Amino acid sequence: MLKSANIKLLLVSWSCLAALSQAKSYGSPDLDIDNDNSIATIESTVDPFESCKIYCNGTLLHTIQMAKPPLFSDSKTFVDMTLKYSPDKTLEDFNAMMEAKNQQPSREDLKNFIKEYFGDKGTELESWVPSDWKENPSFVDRISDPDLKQWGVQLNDIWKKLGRKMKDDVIKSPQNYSIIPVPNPVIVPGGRFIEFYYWDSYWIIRGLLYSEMYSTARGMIENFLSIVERIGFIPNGGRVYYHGRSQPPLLTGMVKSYVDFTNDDQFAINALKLLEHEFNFFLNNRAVSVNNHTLCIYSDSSEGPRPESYSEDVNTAASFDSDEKKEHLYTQIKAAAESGMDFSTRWFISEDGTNAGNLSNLSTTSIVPVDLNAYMFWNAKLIAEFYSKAGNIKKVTEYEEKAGEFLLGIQEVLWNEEAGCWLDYDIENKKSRNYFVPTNLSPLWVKAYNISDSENISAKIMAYIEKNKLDTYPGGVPNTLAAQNEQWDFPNVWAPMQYILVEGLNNLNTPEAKNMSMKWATRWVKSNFKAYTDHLDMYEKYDAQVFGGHGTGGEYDVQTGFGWSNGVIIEWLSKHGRDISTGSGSGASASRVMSVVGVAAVTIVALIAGRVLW
Amino acid sequence: MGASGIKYICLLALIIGASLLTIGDAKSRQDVVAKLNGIPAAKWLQLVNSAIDSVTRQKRLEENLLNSDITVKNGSLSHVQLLDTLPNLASKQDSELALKILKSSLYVFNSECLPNEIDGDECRSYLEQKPLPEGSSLRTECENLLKGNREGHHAFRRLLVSSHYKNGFYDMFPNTGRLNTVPAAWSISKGLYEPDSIQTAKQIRFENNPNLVLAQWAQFVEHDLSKPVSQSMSSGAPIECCSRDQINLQPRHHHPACAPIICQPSEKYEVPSCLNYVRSALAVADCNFGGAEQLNQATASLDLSQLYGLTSAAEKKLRASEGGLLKSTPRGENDNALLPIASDTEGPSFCAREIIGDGTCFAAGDSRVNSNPFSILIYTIFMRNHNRLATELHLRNRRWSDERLFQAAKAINVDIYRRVVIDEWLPAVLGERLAAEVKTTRYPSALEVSNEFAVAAIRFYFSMLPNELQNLSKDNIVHGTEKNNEYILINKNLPSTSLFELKEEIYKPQLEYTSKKLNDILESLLNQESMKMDAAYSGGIVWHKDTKPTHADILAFDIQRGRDHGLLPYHRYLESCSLSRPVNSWKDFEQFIPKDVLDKLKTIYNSWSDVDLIVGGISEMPVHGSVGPTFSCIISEQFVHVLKQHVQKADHKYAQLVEQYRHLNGTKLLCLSSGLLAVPQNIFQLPSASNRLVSCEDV
Repeated sequence: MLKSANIKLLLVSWSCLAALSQAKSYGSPDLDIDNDNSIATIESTVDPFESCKIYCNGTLLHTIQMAKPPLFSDSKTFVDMTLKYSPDKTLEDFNAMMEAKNQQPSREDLKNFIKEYFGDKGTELESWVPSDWKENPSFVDRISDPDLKQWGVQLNDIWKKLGRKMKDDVIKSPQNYSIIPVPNPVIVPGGRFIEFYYWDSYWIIRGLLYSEMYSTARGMIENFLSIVERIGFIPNGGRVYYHGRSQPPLLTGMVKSYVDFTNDDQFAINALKLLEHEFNFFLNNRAVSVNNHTLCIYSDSSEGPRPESYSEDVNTAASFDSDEKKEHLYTQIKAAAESGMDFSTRWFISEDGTNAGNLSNLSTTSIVPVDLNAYMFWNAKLIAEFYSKAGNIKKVTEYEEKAGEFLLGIQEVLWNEEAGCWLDYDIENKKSRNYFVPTNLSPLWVKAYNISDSENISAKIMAYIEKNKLDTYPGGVPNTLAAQNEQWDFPNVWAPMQYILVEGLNNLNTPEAKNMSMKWATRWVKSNFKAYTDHLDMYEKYDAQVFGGHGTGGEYDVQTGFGWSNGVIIEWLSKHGRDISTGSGSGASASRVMSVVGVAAVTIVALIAGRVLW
Repeated sequence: MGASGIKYICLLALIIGASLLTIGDAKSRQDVVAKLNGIPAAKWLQLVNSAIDSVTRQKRLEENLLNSDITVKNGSLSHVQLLDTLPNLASKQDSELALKILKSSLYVFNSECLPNEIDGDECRSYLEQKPLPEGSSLRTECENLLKGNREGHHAFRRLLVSSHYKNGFYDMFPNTGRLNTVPAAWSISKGLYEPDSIQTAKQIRFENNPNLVLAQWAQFVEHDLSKPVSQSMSSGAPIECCSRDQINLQPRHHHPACAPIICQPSEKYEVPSCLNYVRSALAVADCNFGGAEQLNQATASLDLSQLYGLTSAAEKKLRASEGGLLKSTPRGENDNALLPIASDTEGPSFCAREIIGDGTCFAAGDSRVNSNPFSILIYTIFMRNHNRLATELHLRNRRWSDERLFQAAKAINVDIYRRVVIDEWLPAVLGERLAAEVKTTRYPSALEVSNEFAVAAIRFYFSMLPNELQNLSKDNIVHGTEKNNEYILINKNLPSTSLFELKEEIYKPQLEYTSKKLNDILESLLNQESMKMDAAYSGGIVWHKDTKPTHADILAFDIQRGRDHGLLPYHRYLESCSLSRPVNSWKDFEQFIPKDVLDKLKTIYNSWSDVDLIVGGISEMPVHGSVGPTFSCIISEQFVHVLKQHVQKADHKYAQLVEQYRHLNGTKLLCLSSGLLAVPQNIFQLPSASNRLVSCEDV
């Protein structure tokens, strides 16, 4: 048992090393990134995944995460704890303890071991107030409604609470932490997500840019570039246990956003090699061929259950009888995590080829997702654009061609004329999956369609919206129409998805689409505002059926903070703040105050009357 | 407060009425009406359809839960609780339809009210007057339901008109999020807990102290008048909100009707413990939109439905089909018979056992018969009484049919029961004066059972239950020694032995039930003083520890249920019942709640305005009867309606016959239906110089 676990560990570190060497071979020696000194020291001396021995798999992880009843109310707690001793000593002493307890440690034994060998979760991070934080960013001035203006100010304040900086010891002794060291401080999503996350950061960075915090935004992008340089791709989030999966590739989009705000073209040009490298990571590791088109899927390269949701995954796989089938399911689970939509009926394929079933029906790698391929198209377009700024015509042509190939694949494989929309494609059953997900409309956002065809596409998309009754929900457009109690299913609504829908419809540029876009943006802002006034919190997800209601479902309780929700609201307050107001008009709130006074007065009169009558 | 309890309710009605008529200034009300009247007919239909889609969608979720085996397992803690709130088929149908109407209202609220700054209460009061859309399937379904037989499926009435929900419609307190001020139900129960030794030490012996029969009858009356039942899945499967280890489930396994009672342990990262709480079934009050109203699977008259069953179908199952008798387990003489044993298929509806058919499990008209030995005993007494009456009638009228004998015996049995409740039990609970007032007060119409009575006031008796019933039967004590004018009981063998531990017996009858055992229990109930009616419950019915619970916490459950039913906080009832002015601070509670309890409440609640009705109610010092002024007020109000129902629904078919049995009172009832040799004059008080024993031979 122990031996095989050790072998697995070895395999993991090999695969990490392989990724590393791949990164190095891609990274050109004349890279010019202005903050790479700190990286060099990390890179040259230590294996970035040394702590994987503890946090990614093995007997220790298994024993602690599988304790019954569980030792922690959230499985992620343990893998975010710090090590007091080296991974080797910790493992050695753990094995000795197991030996002493006859491989049957009690819950108490495990608790004691954790107390002695592990520090509290998140203690490697310090809160950090961004040095470029601005008290009065100009987006606030663009909001006319006084309540929304006030809210804008408070959202801007939240950046100070979500700032995190790694302690020096993380850089010195990364083997004692599950966190992946990065040179610059970051803005985290919030709640249980105390480290940076990949695709979350796209909307966080846009929010920072609208809040005029350019250097924090730039620092976060540089972190990602440094990770690509060291690891070859960007893991799901800033922990070693995410080492086998990425997330929707939006790094190039982040660079584009930064350049749009700062006009610092050189920044994009300098980043090009690493952006290309990340693009190639997906092309080399995530490509499939469908009807002679090369398209990408979400996948994963690691073994075992997700360390941060270990017992949950083991339970999900319990219905499978062989290790091989279990391992296959773990891959599907982690691939779904790579998509960012963990979990959703979007990734279920049942026996009869529908989205019925439960987590054991996850078949992420058999589904060609609309969004990933739209992003691949977009990345190629942006890389071409940056190369044209650099004057490298050859590369421009190369990436325009790559973009063209993705565009063709999207049109031929993912567009479904009957549904009048793009749909995910089921490779197993060779058919489109006609289920609503906001990402079905993601080509609109990144303009992965023939612009000349806008009128036609707009008519079809509007019909698709009507048919799926997407405009009937008071709290935003739900992520799917299947009530599964997974967090990326009905009735949950997510800020990035509202963003993709709203910005995509706006891009279509027809009056109907633009109207719907504005309507949905307004609804989203007002519903988030209501939730905020009720609870003083921004949520990671909301509820389509409840105006101002937060989401639920999945494997952990709803989190607050919250990076991408804040980012989207700040952007839309900035863009539409002149046109949105709370309530039906200023008259309503005034009369509401009146009615409260009225009731109080009546009660008092009645009470006095009552006393006299007695 | 004395005589004025009921008058205060009238005052209250006046206040509410006045404020309803003039809510706010008329203008804003008109704005709301104008805004909502402006919604086109097609939009109303669309909103209703969205709601129905959403209810339909829920089926997928329920299938998933069942596939993951997330449902109530036989023999589990949740099974115990399910039996306390077990819905019948008709309730399920009512509740499903009511849920669709509620969801429709919520869609209107979320789509048309909230975005336009119309708050929950305004929106709800508009919608309560708004009929479901003409021509919608929901309207048709609703009208058909109301036309059908609705016996025993009525909405609970709200005493103070408005409900207390976060959104005005259905969302329960406490809040989630940072503006969280209301403490969780379980933490309140834990905060109020006192070790049993302290509770016993505080017990002060008074003349005329109530015995445990008073608590037992309170429970029996509750079973007759009130049964909030839990919601179920559309397949009928019961809903489970906790894991098998009594910890909370992942959100993905959370049914929308779940509101589990959760305790977050003090230790960092520790896993919270969990007790099942499923939200109560909803009732269809009319075919208008509106907020949540809970369903009462019982009727507002004292009719022994708990014994005979709520419907004629249920009654038929319980009858022996000959001689007008109820089914029983014969043990020689009639006054020795036991309740019928539940069949194997009925087992899970009556007892919380892992293996069906394992051990004793009695059947009756209500799933709550086996809730504890006290209830088994009293159901048995009334079953015996019925059969004794039927046999007597049969002897006198040899040619009467089974049906006639049954109905006549039932009419007499119910009449005896009513008289004991109204003439003997009610004065013990409310005090003589208020109980007399109940009989003379007249309201214009008889109304359903109030929510406040059902889920708060009548639940007072749990506070009086001890952990153990001591063996005070005649073998164990020497009766009737009078010394220095004091009537005392002398215990033969000290320390006393106990007949059973309550927590071992809840829905799992472990005792070997014999006629003698029931006699011992009855005798001990008559002779054991009830615990003080106060905020401290005994350890057998609450779970005060941080460890995994092995039995339920009744107080936490009652608090949670009060919130589920949207009861207003305690102070609102105190204001209308006793104070006749608004409460402004903790100080206003001082004359009603003892200082030590009030100090505890201050540490538990952030504000006096959050104190739950049940908590305030049990904290009050009893004044004239066994309960404090607020519960007296709610109970007396309810009994005025009960008496009115008796008058309105009176069936005079057996009036003459019933008259012949008028001489039977509580003492005689117990004598005739048990093997006791003597029973005190007042069966709800400890025997004493002023409450002497009556020999059963004289009856």
